Amino acid sequence: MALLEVEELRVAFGAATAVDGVSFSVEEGKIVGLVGESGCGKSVTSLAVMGLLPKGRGGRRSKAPQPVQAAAAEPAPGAVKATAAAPQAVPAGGGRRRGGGAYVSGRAVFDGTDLLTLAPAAMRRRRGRDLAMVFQDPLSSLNPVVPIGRQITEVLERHRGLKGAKANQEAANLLDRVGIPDPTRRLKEYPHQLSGGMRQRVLIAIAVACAPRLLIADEPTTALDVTIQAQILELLKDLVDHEGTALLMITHDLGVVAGMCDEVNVLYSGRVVESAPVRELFARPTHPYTIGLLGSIPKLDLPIHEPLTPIRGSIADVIRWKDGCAFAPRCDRVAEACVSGEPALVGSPHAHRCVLAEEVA
Amino acid sequence: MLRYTVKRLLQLAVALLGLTLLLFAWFKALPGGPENQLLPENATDQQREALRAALGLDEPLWVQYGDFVGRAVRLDFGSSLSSGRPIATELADRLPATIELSLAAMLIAVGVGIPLGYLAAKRRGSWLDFSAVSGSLLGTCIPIFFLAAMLKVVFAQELGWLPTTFRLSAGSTYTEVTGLRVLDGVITGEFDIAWDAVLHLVLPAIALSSIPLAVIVRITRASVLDVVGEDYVRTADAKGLKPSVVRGRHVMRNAMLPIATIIGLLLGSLFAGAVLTESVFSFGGIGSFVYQATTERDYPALMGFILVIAVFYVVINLLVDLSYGLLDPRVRVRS
Repeated sequence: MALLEVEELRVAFGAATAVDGVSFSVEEGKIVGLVGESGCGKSVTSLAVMGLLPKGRGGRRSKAPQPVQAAAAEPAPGAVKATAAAPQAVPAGGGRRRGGGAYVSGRAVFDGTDLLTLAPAAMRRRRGRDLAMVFQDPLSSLNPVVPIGRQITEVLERHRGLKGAKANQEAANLLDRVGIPDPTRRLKEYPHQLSGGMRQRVLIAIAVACAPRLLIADEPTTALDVTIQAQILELLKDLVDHEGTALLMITHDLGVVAGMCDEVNVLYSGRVVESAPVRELFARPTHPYTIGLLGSIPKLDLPIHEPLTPIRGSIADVIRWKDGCAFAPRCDRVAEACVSGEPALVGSPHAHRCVLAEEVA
Repeated sequence: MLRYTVKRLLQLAVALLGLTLLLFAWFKALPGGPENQLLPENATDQQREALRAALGLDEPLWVQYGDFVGRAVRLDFGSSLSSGRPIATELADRLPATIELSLAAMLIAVGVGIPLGYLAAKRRGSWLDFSAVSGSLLGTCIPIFFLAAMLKVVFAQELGWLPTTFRLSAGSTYTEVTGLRVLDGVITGEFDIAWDAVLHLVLPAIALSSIPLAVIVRITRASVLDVVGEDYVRTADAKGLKPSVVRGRHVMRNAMLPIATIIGLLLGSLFAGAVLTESVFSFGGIGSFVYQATTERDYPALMGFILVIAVFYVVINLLVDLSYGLLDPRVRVRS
């Protein structure tokens, strides 16, 4: 059994669904990628697993509110319309949201325990110790008015009971381990005194401080220079290789996926549209969205006048998977079969969610 | 930090010099000079001229100004026209009362305002948030003198829970150390005096705290709402820290930055608010002295008062700016 098994994860903000039944698993010592463009639900998925979404009214893990639930349960025409007509947009991108909490359902089984059913206090004891997260923007993710040493020792104090000089020594060791020179001096410094790459190393040091069994990295290199990116990825890979940590890598960068991941899940509009071992995915991309993603990577060897090939249109605000494929409006191969019914995720280990897949492949 | 402090001190000197110029010009522009106040209405022109000469009012303006600044630097503001005592002495006698009242009011405003603002932000949209926001609007709308009078009528005169006027009950024997009577009572071990002084402080302090309290509630609420949405608060949550640690170290330490600035500004303005509150409660501080000076056109007294208040204001703001460096490491390095 895998260390983390996410099953049918669903996250809704009010009437807007952000994640619509996502399932995947992460095994120890493996790197699993969640790939997709902004707004596809990859960050929300990771925050839901970490229990970091603002809770919805009336209970922490309450079910989705009526309209969405009705739509999810049965394609009753009235209910579907209600969902589609909902004016709220799914907030795109990262996890920062105000007001209106999240309604999370499904299962996220970590080492035999469903994280989604844990009480807040029990979840807090696990966060930072059993599962930890590295965030996207290292500057804004570190507290600007607290020395980085304290930001590391507080997690040591909380989960490992280390205090004072012992905690400081361990924090220096951690900084050393993530490749920060002169760690003892750095402990007293503030985030604004460090470079972007250093800050990301500090965030990684914080995340691995208690040797978590699962590490979630949410676009850990997006805010960094290309040269620093490679160093940070190397560092994460080392951790997985040496500690047997399971790593869930959230990214929009297929280059990162190719270099890092063992398994890939491509997300589109809140659902997994393709899931495969990494070699298999790059060798035989099946879903038109995956093909589009691969095709939209700029190639350095192309003539300079050659235009780039983006996927036309942009991701829909409101998830629409009930009457046809959500990607159909942007798909070049769209056919009659695509705009009715619900495409299912088929195949194993290479699964895809496209009714035309056989023809495409 | 030292260079920054010196720079700020120089700025402070320039600001104060500008203020003396402004003050001097303003008082010169006011109609009805002091000679009209000092002399009977049927005084002859010669008498007026003689008095003007005696007061130095016939000198050229720049001489009068130089004289004014020169004496102000030596804390010599002349004598009060109404009491005849040196203004510096009058102010020194009354300053502790005003400082005590202002500090008590600020203590209430900070002690109630910050927790209330925090709760309002955390329970945004709840009835508590709604009452805090509308209550603070009300707080800024009610004139201090009205609120002070109402508090006095209800809690002192009608209910009789608290004393109506003065800083201590009649007939108390009191040993002065700092002039802050609550503090003095504690220092000398006269706890009954300290308690009596506290009782006398309650109503005026509440009245005076209404505006700063309202402002602090709203600033805290806005600041906390801003900070809880920050990525580093999410990082703190991702570490599994206890809610109290997330609140103290990660939310409030950042949310305090704008609050600290506003507290400094408010503390300065409290001295102005004290004028009204003190006269309602006969509190015997600088405020009631100014009230009297204004009604009697005691110009030297007013000038002295305004200068002293201005110095307080500027010094407090300097302290706030310096404390900002302690609160925010980013400011420290830039300076």
